[in-house]
Amino acid sequence: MSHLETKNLTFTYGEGTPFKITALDNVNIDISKGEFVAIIGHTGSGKSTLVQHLNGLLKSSSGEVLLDGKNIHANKQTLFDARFRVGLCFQYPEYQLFEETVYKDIAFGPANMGLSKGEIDERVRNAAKYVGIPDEMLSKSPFDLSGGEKRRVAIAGVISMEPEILILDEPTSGLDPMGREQILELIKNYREQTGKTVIIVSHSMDDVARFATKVIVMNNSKVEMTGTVDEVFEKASRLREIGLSVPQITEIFIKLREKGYNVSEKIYTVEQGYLELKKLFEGSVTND
Amino acid sequence: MSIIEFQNVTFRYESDDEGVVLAPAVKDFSLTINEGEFIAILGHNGSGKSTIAKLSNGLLIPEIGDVIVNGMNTKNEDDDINIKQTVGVVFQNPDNQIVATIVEEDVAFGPENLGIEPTEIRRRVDESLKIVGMYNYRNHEPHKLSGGQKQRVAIAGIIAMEPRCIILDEPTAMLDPEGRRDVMKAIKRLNRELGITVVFITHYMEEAVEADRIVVMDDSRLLMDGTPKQVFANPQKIRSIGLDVPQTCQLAELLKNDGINLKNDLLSIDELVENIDDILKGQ
Repeated sequence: MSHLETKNLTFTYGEGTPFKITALDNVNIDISKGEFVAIIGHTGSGKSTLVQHLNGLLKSSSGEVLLDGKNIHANKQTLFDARFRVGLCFQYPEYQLFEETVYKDIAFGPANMGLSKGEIDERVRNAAKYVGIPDEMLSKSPFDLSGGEKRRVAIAGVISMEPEILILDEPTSGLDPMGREQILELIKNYREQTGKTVIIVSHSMDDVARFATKVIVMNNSKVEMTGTVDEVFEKASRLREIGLSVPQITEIFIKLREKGYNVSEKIYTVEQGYLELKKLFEGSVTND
Repeated sequence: MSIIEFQNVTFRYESDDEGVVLAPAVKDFSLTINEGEFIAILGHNGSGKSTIAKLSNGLLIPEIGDVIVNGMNTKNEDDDINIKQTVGVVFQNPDNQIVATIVEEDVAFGPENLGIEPTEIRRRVDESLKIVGMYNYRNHEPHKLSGGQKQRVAIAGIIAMEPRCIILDEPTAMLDPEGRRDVMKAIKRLNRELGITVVFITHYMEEAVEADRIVVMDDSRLLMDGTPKQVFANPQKIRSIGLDVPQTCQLAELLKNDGINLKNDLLSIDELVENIDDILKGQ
């Protein structure tokens, strides 16, 4: 059954002015419980506008967002629920840290949910554990942390609300390779341990190929395609046309096929590539 | 001939809290950048890369040591304008670098401040926009452009000042794949066709391999300095400081461990594909 769904979602910025831009044009997506969804698309394709609709931060001009089959804008209560059940972590979330201590920053969301002190404390410590923030860091000022640490604190601030659906808009942008890897690992572990639904917006085709169970491709405010990693990346030439790319490793196999080698095109990670090339080298020995 | 020379440079930022002394952001750093070179600087967050960018044209002044730009010391205030005209810096976020409401006015901002003749400004603006492929957008409003387009406008604004060296601090970090490709193309053109010295700071290994020379920073110091092939020939060392090697290198490394006789210095997709093809045909 679908967990989170949009039906004919259309959104226009600057309606009624000469600067009107349609940011979402009849968007239909359907996400089931426990999926790891990646939304990709060039800058300005509507990705961020779409995710801001999913917890009711933006309200569409037409169409609806359904959470477990219920329109999130049905009444005040449904909207209030959606805000907490769907947790949204913006791009560069570390700029939104503002409290005196890391602890208070992570506690901000749960405190607004009207939880007891004990519950808040438990949630803060749990969330900190998920993102790898040690206890002694909780009393520090968030501004004394490194960029990667700040990012993790900001993500913990969303996780502490224990949303059923966690949405992260470009969670790794601007980080160095080690920082990127840490964030991706923590998101992956969080999903595996809690079984919760995760949606990420990403520019990194390599990351998408490694983690996503479903890929949604946005182009010019519309959904261009939806499918598994295999289904999406096999359309390499179409992805390039709309300003995207395929993982670097996939390029190698496209070129080997062009040279007449019978290798799979469905290779997206270094590990898969290694196994496929090993087969190719072994195969060529036996053929001779 | 050298265009920028870092001579045993140490720099530390001042803390907001009184009496607190921060660790140096750059420690005993020496580097000679020669005219016409295309250099990539790699390093994890906080390794001192951006500080190097700001030291290179006098936006920051060393605490110890000297930075010499084309014979001028950045400590000498009289040379400040000359130095900034020689070395231009482009930063990560294009939104923080655009000042005007029309693309061509934005590009003209730098030369106007240098007191250049209007006809010459016109010529430079047109030419700079053509180099980065944004001439057709000269009358557009910058805030309506994509990230990659804005970044190319910011680069045009620097080119219009006709610097001899351009430093780019993670110019592609906030861009999508197409934006990154376009910006890289523009940067390469500056170097290959116009002979401008380019120093660019990046986290993307596949961009760094396009440079002639790679400088790796770690813990505020210079750790490695060599051609891309020399630097990536040592994947363990690169990984040990929190960086990564390009995926082609990772794949080649795994196959070599299995005894497949690939070359040691494969960086690009084409090189790897060619080498695999050669080995298979040779069997």
